[in-house]
Amino acid sequence: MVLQTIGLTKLYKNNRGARDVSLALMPGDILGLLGPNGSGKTTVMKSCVGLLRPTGGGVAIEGHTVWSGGGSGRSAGKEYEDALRGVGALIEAPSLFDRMTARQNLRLAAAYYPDVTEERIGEVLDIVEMTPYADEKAGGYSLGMRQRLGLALALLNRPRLLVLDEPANGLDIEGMVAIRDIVKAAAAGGAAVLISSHLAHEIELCATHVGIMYDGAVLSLSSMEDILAASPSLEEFFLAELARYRKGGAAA
Amino acid sequence: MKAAIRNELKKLILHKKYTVLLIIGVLLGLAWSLTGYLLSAALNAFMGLGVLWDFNSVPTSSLPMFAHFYLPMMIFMAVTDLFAGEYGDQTIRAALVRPITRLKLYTAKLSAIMIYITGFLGVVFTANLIAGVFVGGVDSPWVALRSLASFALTLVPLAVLACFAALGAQIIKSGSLLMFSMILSLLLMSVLPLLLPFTRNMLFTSFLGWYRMFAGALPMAGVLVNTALTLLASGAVFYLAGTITFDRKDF
Repeated sequence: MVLQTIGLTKLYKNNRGARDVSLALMPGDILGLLGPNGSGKTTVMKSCVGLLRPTGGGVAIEGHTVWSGGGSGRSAGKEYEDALRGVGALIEAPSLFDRMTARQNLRLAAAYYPDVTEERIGEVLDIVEMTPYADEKAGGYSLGMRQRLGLALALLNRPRLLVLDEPANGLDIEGMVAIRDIVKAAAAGGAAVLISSHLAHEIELCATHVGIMYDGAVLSLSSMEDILAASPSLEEFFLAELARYRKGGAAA
Repeated sequence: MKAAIRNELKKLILHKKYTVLLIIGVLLGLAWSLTGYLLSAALNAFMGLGVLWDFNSVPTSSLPMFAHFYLPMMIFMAVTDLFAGEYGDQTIRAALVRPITRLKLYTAKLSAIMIYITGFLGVVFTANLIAGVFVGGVDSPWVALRSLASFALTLVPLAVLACFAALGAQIIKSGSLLMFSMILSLLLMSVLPLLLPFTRNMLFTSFLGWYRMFAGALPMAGVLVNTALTLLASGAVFYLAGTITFDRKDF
């Protein structure tokens, strides 16, 4: 198993966040988290890669603990590093140093992986079609170019778990198609992908499994095959799930 | 860990202001040393006031300015850039999603700042030593070694100051507010012992110029040990509090 969360809970002071989220991703899986803004998708992703400290539950990546159960704490030293070694993440806006070029940004990240060479930096720049702009400072990039460089940073270490939070933000149609191809290629190569979007169409075109999130909870977790067998589209399935949840809430 | 230190150093060096501040520091140090020397020589020649200037002190004469003012400001700036600045624009995440523990990352940032400060002092020392040789103040290897020891000892309280500022960066979100708060704290901690003398031995800022304790006849061992322990304890408390706060932060 590449990623496992058990009862993952992260509540902010305003009592919003994510509640009791249990996920399991195997190699080749593309799990799309679909939900409106504020439904807890980013919270789950940030907790998985150690950016947020959960208030409950646990997270393990490739058998290595990131957060131990009960939200008691981050795993120590080598265990934590081993957990994150195979992770590539693009969460919210790409974290770029504007004074540096794309290549320099990639070199900074590459320093954490002994096996990532200058050749690999060239490869990821090619994958995201940023080679012509590799030696320009990131501060001058458009939103789409920044997103592409963010994706290159996520792919740099040949991740076995790719965590992408709304990766199509700021991209044109070609860019969105390119992202889908990259995600599918990563999964075909054996990586597990956790991807979020508030656009049903985006998830429908690339995910193998879908988690519908609303109000911090995962309302349903199903394979895309099952969803499309039960509904004409993911969008209709999403709306039906939401209606069922609201009806349940009203009845309760 | 080495990779993280290299990365943090690269980030610092890419800020042009640190190169400019190094050049200004060297020029300021030389001007400070040589002005004192020339003024003393002129007063001696024209007014017969005798030797007012200790020629042997040329290499270290500017050190108080660096230890009490210039380098603390640079440390505050570097801490603001590597901590508060990265929290503000979220670039801290670039390292946090990599296989490195927060403890190591925090330590790497502090190490990079201290490596830069060490390099800065090394350059200033070399420039002042050369100036000292020219004006005749450094006439034996002993003088040079004693000056080198003074520069090296200055690093200890500065490292404590860096830990203090880094802890401040975990509490204060805004970079400019952090810078302002650190300057104000340094000022208050420098003034407080004048108003309340008993606080002198409790505040690490009282020992920013502790290298002077080693300059002439050594003080009693007890005083040295007390001073060293105060610095060590302050540094340990700030460092531990800083790492714990950093580890618990959400980004």
